[in-house]
Amino acid sequence: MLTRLAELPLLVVLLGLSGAMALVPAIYALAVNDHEHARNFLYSALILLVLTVMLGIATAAYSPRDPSRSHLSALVLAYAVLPFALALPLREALPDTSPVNAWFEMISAFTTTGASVYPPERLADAVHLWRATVGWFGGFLIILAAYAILAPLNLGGTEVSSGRVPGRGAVGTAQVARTADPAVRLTRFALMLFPVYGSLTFLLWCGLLVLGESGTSALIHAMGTLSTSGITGSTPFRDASSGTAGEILIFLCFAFAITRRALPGVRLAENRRPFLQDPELRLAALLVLTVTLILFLRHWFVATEAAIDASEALSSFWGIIFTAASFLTTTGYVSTDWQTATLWSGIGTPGLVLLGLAIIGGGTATAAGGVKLLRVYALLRHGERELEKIIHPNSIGRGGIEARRLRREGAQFAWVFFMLFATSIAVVSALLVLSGVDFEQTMVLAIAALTTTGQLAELGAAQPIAYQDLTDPVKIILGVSMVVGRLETLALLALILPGRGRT
Amino acid sequence: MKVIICGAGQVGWQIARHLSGEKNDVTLVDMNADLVRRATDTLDVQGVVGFASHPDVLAKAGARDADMLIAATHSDEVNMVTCQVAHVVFNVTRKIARIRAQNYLDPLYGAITNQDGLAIDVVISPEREVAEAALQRLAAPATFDTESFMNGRAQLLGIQLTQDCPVLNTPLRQLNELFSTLRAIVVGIRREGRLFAPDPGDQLYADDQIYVFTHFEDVNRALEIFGKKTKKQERVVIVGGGNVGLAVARALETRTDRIRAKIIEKDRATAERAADALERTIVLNGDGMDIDLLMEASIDRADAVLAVTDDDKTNLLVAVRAKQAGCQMTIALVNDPTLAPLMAPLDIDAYINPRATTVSSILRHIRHGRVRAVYSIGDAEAEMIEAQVLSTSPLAGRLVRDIEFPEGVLVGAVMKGDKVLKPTGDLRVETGDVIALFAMAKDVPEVERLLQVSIDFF
Repeated sequence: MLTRLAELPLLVVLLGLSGAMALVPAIYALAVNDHEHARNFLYSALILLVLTVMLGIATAAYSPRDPSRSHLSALVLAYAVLPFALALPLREALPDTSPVNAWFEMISAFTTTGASVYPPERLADAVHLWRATVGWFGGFLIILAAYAILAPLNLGGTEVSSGRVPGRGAVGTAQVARTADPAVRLTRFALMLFPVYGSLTFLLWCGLLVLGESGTSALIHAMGTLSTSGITGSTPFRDASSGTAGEILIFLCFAFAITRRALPGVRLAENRRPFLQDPELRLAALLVLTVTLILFLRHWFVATEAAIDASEALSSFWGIIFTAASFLTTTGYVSTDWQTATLWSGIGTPGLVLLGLAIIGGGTATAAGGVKLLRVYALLRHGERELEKIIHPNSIGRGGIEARRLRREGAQFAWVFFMLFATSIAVVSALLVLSGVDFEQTMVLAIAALTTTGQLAELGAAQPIAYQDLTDPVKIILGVSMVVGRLETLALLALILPGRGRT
Repeated sequence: MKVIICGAGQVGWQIARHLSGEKNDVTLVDMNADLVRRATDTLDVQGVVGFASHPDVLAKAGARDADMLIAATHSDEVNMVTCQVAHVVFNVTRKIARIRAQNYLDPLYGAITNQDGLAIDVVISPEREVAEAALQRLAAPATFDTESFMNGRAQLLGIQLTQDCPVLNTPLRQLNELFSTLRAIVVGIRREGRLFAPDPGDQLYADDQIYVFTHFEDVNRALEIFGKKTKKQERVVIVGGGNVGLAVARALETRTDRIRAKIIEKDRATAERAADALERTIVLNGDGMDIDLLMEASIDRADAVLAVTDDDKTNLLVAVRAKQAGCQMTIALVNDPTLAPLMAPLDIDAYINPRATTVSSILRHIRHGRVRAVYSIGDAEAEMIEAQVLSTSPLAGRLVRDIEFPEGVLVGAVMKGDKVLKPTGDLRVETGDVIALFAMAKDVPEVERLLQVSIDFF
């Protein structure tokens, strides 16, 4: 049954799953006696499921010429098509909203960006839950895709460690008589990853519940953390009732967006170093600590008053460390103590630091966006090596074959990606300027969309940017750039560029 | 004694030469028929052509009644299997294997070579021994040859005397009285290419090469007396990053005195392997003869250069070039012992002969009695033998002056318990003592007789 289902085109499967997901807010709304929303979500779910069945029957005999590439195109198509399907229940729930708004809301949730065009109080809890669920689903999809679709094609960060040309599969060897079918691979990884992803969300939910958050808000925050969407319910995250204890719990869960090694029970083929020596984890710790120390110590350079309040210092320290980690993982939750921290450090707009962190992004094969830590790490190693070479031009770098590959081909691909990322920021900014957005805002909005950290709009610029004030073309540009940022330019290029028929 | 030697390479050949010279029944096994024929032509050995580990080849070589098998082919694995075949099929009593790969030698996996495993009685690792020799040379920069004895408590130093040596033209007996607290003794002198054991009345001249056997605490003092300054080595350049170079660099890294080493290796893959295995040492890839590369390794400021590539000529030339560029001290690895006389004209301070070290360690297991160490001096002209005195030995219980040593034999030191004593005429050699003897090659059988179990033991 499961294998039969998995053999259907990926897009159809995803459509069916979206329908099934819509049942979550439906059940919730029913439970809180919000019958109107329950009905809306149930009907939408039924429509999507019926559509799925029909499409499933129609495409049952579909067999693509190149299965691994067909999954890549299905993944891209999913980001093109699914937001419309996902917007269906939203349109039902909010009859007065415009189609562009509903689409933007859903694509922003689905790409785990978490930008919202609606003021929180306008949406019912069930709708908030739907946004969070979509984000959660999107987060899982991107992790799964990284393992089952992008990794075999040498995309999504794999190209840095493998050192092979992205967009191509591994070189065939005679003894590998049969490579796993992508559909089989997808099922296998889904069965491996989903229990972990699901139970971690459940555990975080329980943890937040214990710490005093309400059930809905705890679930939304748990989903928002694991998927790095950073979606919140009707109350902003900084007012969450779990307080600093809840923040600590969420902070620990950022590890899942920093390195894929953090996911328990996931087998990785690569060389296993001790967890704490994982380069991504170390780099992330270094970045967060550096930012924290700079912002924290800045107090002593700018502070006019001599008296230092210990509790204020402590809470601003935590505020910086949490928020920095949150934006590094492109989640976008802001600590309760961030306001204290801003005052403490005396920088009017520390948002710029957060923009930088978000560009670096989280780990490869996690739900985080951005350039990815592994690529930055490869570039750093390469740079370090080049410096060594200035002193000893003929010296040989140490670290073994993997480190060497990371420094050479890996750094090269990382650099290509970095350039593509920079180019996409430039292109998106240019398009936004052309659509009439103020220049300072375009930068922040472009980075927010490309790194899938929607919350940057609130903190990145001097004045918070409200998504609801943007015009429709701007929203469409941002929505598309979210997909570009989510799927990584390299993957899109691998799909579009000529020669895609070659294997 | 009937000995089978597998592999007629550098080590195999040298052992065959040694053992056949001592009237043993030696059979040499090698795949290369040419090499085997040359061996049977030049040495007093029998030859068998074939693959060493194949039982029929071993049978043809007479493994059934062999007393010892030495597996010294190029492949570790062949050596291991050869020993096991010799053990299982032919029940050869003593099996010695040369094993290069350090991983097999890790004490963690010691079970590999014991009786239940591959049944190898003695493992010899030339690279490790050569690396040790190189380190000893580095530690005693003013000597051209060193070897430690008596668990490291005594040292044999080879010293080249120059004009500025303060003790020239003095009889040794007088020197002994002059420096009565110095626990050192001159055991051999090479004058105009001829090595001999000195008499107390002999004098030292400039350009003599002398071998001094000394207590390890007196090494620096002894060097000073013979006009050599000791200087700490801080910057070392190693040319050749193979097993030897790597082992030396690794040993230098573990030392506490923070020696900064650089390795130059021509082969990229080998260089990468070395770089991966080392923590601080800088590995450079390129030709060690290239002056630009040598300057990159800052050879002009280096305290010592160690040329340990697998090619003798490269080693010699690198050493010369480094000296010319300003390096203080040069040490070269030289496989061909006939090149040894070139060291002085080329101004190379010291050389390591890997065969001498390897052959020494194999010989130690062949000698009779309780021989603990044998070091072959020069081109097998003499040996330094360290042995335990058995109760049945003619030495036991006698004063040093009463023992009838042959003309070419000198006592270097006697170790009682763990105290190393300078030999004097009225020192009594007792059962259980360890004695170090310098013996000219022609006197080795007589020394063996002295150390051997007497007939009445049986």
